[in-house]
Amino acid sequence: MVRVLVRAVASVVASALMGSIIVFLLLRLLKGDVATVILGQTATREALEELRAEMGLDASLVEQYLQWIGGVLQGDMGTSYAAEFDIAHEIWVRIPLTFTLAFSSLILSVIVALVIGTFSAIHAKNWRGTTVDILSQVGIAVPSFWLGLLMATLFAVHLGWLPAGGYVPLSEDFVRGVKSLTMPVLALAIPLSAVLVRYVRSGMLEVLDEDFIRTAQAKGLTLRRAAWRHGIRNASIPLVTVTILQLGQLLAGAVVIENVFTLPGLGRMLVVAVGGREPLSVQSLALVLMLMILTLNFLMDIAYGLLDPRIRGRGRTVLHA
Amino acid sequence: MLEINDLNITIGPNEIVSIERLSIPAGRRLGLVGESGSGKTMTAMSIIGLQPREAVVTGSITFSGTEMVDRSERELSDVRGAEIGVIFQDPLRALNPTMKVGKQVAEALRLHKTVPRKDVKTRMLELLEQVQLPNPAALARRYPHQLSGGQQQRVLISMAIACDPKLLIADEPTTALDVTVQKEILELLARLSEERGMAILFVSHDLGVIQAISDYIAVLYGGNLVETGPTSDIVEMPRHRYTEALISVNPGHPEDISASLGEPLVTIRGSVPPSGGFLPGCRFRGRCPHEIEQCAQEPLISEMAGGHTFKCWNPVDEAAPALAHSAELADGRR
Repeated sequence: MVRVLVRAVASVVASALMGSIIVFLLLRLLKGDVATVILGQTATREALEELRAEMGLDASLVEQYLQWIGGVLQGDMGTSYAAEFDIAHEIWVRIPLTFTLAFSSLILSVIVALVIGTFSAIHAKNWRGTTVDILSQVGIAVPSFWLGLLMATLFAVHLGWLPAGGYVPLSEDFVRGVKSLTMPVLALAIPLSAVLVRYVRSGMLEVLDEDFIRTAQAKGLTLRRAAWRHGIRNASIPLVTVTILQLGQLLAGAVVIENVFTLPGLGRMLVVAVGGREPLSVQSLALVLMLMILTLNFLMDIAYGLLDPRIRGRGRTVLHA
Repeated sequence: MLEINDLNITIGPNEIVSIERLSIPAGRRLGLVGESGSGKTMTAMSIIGLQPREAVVTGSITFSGTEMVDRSERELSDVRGAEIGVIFQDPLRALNPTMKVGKQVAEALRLHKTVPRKDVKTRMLELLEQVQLPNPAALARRYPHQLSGGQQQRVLISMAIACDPKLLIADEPTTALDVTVQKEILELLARLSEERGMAILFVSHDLGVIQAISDYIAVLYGGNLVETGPTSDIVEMPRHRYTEALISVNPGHPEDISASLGEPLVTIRGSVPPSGGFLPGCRFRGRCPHEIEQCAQEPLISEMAGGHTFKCWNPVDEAAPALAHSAELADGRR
C-alpha cells in the first residue's frame, strides 16, 4: 500500500511539473510582457530593457524556469511585479473558495446524476424517461457562464433572493456563505450533472439487465428498490471514469464562474494575472490548479477500489489526466 | 399447490408458450425439460411475474389458491422470496458483485421480516450451514468472486430458502457447474425439499439431471407441453415421439458413457424452428420420423392411468420399450 501511494504521489508531482513547463513556455508566446503593462505603450526601449533586467526577465528561459521552480519547492512563488503581493500567500488564501466551489459542484452533480439517471433508467420506456432525456440534452448544451448570468438576473436582480456576487467565507457566516455560493455552484453543477445523467442512465440500463437484479427481484424487492440497493453501486463504477474526465472542464468552468459572480478565488486571480502578463502568478496558479485536478483524480481512483471489491488490493495507480 | 391452466405467453405476434394444464402438488418435485428456446425458463419466470417486459402472459397460474397472472409488482414482491424462492443458472452473475454474500442472504430475511431484526445474523449463519458451506462466519464476509461456483450456488440456495418458501423454482441451477459439484447440489436440493416439505420446479435441458431429482416430468417442445407424468412412467414408457427421441439421445451418466465411446453421437434430426416458424398442427412436425397425415391438425390430449398425459397422433406403442425405436429415429445411425 505504501509503495502504491508513493508511486501515485510521484506521478502526480511529475505530471504537475510537466504541466508547469508547458504553461511557462506558452506564456512566453503571448504578445507583450509585464514591463509593457507597467510602463505602458509609450515607454522607451531603454526604460523597458532596464525594468526587465531589474525583474530578472532578461535571463534565459531555462534560468527563469529553474529560479521559479526552485522557489516553489521552498514554498516561495515570488512576488507580483505590478501589485507586489506575495503570490504563494495570495494563492493560499484563495484555495479554500475555489476548492469548495469545485468540490461542492462535483458532489452535487454526482448525486443529482445518480438520482435522476436511475429514475430515467427505470422509466426508460415511458414518458418520464424521455422527459429526463430531453432535459439532459438541453442541460449539456447550456454553458455555465450563461446559466450563471441568467440566474443572477432572475434571483439577484429581479427577486433579490441571493447576492449577485461577492463571497462570505463559510467559517465567518455560514448562512450568508452558503447563499453566496448557491448560484455559482448551481451554474457549474447543472451542466455537469446533465452530462453525467446520460452515463448513469446507460450504465443503469445495463445493470438492470444483470442477473443479480433479477435475483434481487426474486427475493422480493421491487425493480425500483432493486435498482437503488443493488444497482447504484454497480452503475457508479463507470461513472467514476467519466467524472475523472470531466474534472478539467469543471475547474475551467470554476475559473469562468468566479469571474461572473466576482468571487475572490483562484479563477479571478488567474484572469487578472493573465491580463497583467504576470508570468510568475500565472505559472504558479496553473501549477496549483493542476495539482488540484490531479488530487481529485487520485481521490477518484481510490473510489474505484471502494466501489468495486473485485479490483481492490490490485494497486491501481493509473491516472487518467 | 401450483396450478397452471391455459397459460399463453406471447412476444409480439409470436406465441412462445402454450400450456393447457400443469400442476405441482405440495412438497413434490416437477422437472420441466426441453431444448433451449422451448420456453421452459419463460414458463418458470412467469409464475412469479419475472418474464421479460415485452412478454404478454394470459391464462391462469394459481399458487396456494391465489391467482398470480396480472398481479401488481408490489403484490408479487410479497410472494417472491417469501413463499416462492428462485435460484438461477449462472450463480456468479446472479449475485451482486459489490456486496458481501452474508449481507445478500440477510437481505432476504430482513425483507420479509421472517425473524426479529436482532436474530437476522444468527439465522443467516444457520442458513449458510444448512446448505453445507464450511465456516459460515468467515464465508459471509467474502464477496461472490472469492467463492467457487459450487459455493456461489449454495449461497443462492440459502437465499432462496431463507423464508421457508413452499415452492422453489430452480432454473438450470447445475448447468454452469462441473459434474461432481452438480451431483452435490442435486443431493442438497433433494434433501432440503424433503426436510422442509418444499416443492421444487426444476428446469433443465438435461434429462439425466431431471430424472435424478424429479417425482414428475413435464416435456416442453416449442412452447407446447407435449407429455407429462410420473418420472418412471415418462422414462420407461414415453408416448410422445419427441420424448422418445429425447430419451434416446441422452448419453446417460458419465460412468456409462465409456460403453458407447467410438459410436457416433445420436442426435434428433434438424433443429427447433425459430418462434413463429412452426408448421400448423403438432410442433414436432418436420423433425418427427413418425409423422402421419393427421399431424397437421392440433393434437389432442390423451390421458393414461397415473396422471400420464401426452399430445401425439401417432404415439409410441404402449408395450414397446422406448429404446427399441431409437435406431430409426436418429440421424447419426443412418
